[in-house]
Amino acid sequence: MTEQRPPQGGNGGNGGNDGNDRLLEAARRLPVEIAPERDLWPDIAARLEPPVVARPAATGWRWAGAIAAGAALVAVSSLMTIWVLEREDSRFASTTVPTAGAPSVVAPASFGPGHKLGPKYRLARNELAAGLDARLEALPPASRSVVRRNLAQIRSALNEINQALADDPNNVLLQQLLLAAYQDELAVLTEVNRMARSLPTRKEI
Amino acid sequence: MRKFLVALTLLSFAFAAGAETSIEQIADAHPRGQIEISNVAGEIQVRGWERDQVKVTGELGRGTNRLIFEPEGTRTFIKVEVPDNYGNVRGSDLEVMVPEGSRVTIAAVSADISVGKVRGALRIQSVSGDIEVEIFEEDVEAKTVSGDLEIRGHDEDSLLTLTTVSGDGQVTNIRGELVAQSVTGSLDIRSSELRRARLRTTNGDIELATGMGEGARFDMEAINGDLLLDILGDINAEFDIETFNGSIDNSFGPDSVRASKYAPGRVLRFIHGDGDARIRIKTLNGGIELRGR
Amino acid sequence: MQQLAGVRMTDPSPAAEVSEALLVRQAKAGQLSAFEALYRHHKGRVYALCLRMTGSRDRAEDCLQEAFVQAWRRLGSFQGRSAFGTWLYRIAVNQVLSLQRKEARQPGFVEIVDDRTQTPVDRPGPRDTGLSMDLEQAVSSLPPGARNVFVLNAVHGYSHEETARMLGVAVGTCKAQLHRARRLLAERLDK
Repeated sequence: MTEQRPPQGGNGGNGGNDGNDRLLEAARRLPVEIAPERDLWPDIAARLEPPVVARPAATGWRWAGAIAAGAALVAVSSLMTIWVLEREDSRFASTTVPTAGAPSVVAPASFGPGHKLGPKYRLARNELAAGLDARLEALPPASRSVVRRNLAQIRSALNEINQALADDPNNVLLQQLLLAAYQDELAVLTEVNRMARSLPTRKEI
Repeated sequence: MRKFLVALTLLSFAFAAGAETSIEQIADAHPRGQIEISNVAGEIQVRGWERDQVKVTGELGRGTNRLIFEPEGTRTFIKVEVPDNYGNVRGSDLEVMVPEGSRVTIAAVSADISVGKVRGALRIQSVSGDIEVEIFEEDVEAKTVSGDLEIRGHDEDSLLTLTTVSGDGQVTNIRGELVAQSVTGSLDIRSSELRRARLRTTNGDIELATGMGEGARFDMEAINGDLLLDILGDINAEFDIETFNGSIDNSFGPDSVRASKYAPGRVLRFIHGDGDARIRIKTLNGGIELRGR
Repeated sequence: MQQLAGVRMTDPSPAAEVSEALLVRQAKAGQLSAFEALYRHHKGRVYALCLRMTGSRDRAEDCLQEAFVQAWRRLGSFQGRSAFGTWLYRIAVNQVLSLQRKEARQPGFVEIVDDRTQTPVDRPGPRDTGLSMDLEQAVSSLPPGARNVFVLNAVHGYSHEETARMLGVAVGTCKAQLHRARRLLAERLDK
């Protein structure tokens, strides 16, 4: 097929009508692409699950083989997962919460020895974490403490899993659960962010 | 005349500020239009009806500014407007009748929410209020921080998405697809048949009693919470069940085995029936219970 | 970024075509990021199709989402015999058709043509803004049969054969519907 649209054929009898030619021309000039008004990907991603066949060799991640064998990526039907993991050679890197203002409920990020959290994930996490206190202010006090307590529980879980991973770095289950816990944390941060932004206030609906 | 009107307006504001105000508004609406409702505190009750109209009745709490009621094309906006500092404001109770094919979006802080007989897609969020919803064949999404969720289905194929931090959820009579996430809240789900289920909790417990659709994919994960899967009807699945430090208790299939000599974890992997579905259950410290007949 | 034209996604650089094939392979292997890249690349086109065929933003969003979810689930059966885009757009059109059939079955269904859910009169893009804006609105006011054909054939450039195949009708029916669409549009735009 060529790059241009095929000429509008099959309607020979009407060729002489100026109005219709203009109509077809105008139709041809309409944009073939229209951007949706909002990003629909998160809703889509939430509904996807990976196909049954996992192909570890294709990814090149160090532990992808073990995980794929267990159909592990099932846990990961969201964009965040891809962000979390990076194809890196083994260098232990830990990212601490960046600013002084960031709340202590958000755990320093590490993914066991030998793996690094992906930059997109770190960015999203840091952005959400940095704004967390401000967002929490928008919630009623009781809810604020619920969120903080629950984030603290997730942080404990992250610590526990990271410690276990330090002893057993190739443990696939631990890696899967660590991933899940990071996603839980990001999900809470994202939800609080969204909720706080869309709360009924005078300024918006 | 103008002075009279001004005086009347001032009077009505003063009246609103000082006491509860009864409200009643009604407008035509698209049979499958969009309704957006927002209320800080009190109650929001939404019911579907056969008329192509939206009707709001109820009481505005003391201290609220006013009810915004704006039909706009196929959308209707309903919002209880409160002053910026809404600490002193009393809750408002809204009863909203909407065309039963409507899509409804509701945002509340502490207001309790109840939705019934609405067949369109629902998106409901309350920070600490309780949410009670009827689900039909359109998608429903319910989110809360600490409120409780109660979802009642009619055994119709749909997608239900639940998100809670510490609130508990109770779901009955759904079918199709389920995505649920909790940090410490507990979830109790009963379904005739699910094709897809993705359930995740950090420290809450999840109980799922359901039949499995053909080629079903279930994925359950907990860090410290307990997971119970009770399979109703025929079981044709490949199971991949693993816990790092918890127990596995199954009423059918082989026994679980230790994952390794050195670690406390247990593993249970087997195929039952023709192995068509895939069930994956993983926990860190939580206990796993698998039941079936 | 060049204006996409024609039925198939075309890209000036062979490298881009190769990279789409790679993305598809990766997506088939379960890499969600690859599928997301495919989504980002094709969403504009899919949305345009859905929006013009359904005439409503909400329905278009639903159909788009459903189309991508279906595409993901059926990736296993995509053999690469046609271009990925072609395959995807067919799935999207089927979603719209299925929605149209479902709505047609509901008794008492009333189609209200409304400005807010109309096709994108406020979108940037078309050079001849006057006629294009009216045209988008007029198209969405067409009855579904004529609208489907006009959108696929006249706007998006599918051949009669391809249009007929996608809609599951005979080529003759397709041409008749196009004729009807042009007549109705000419009437509505002349007012």
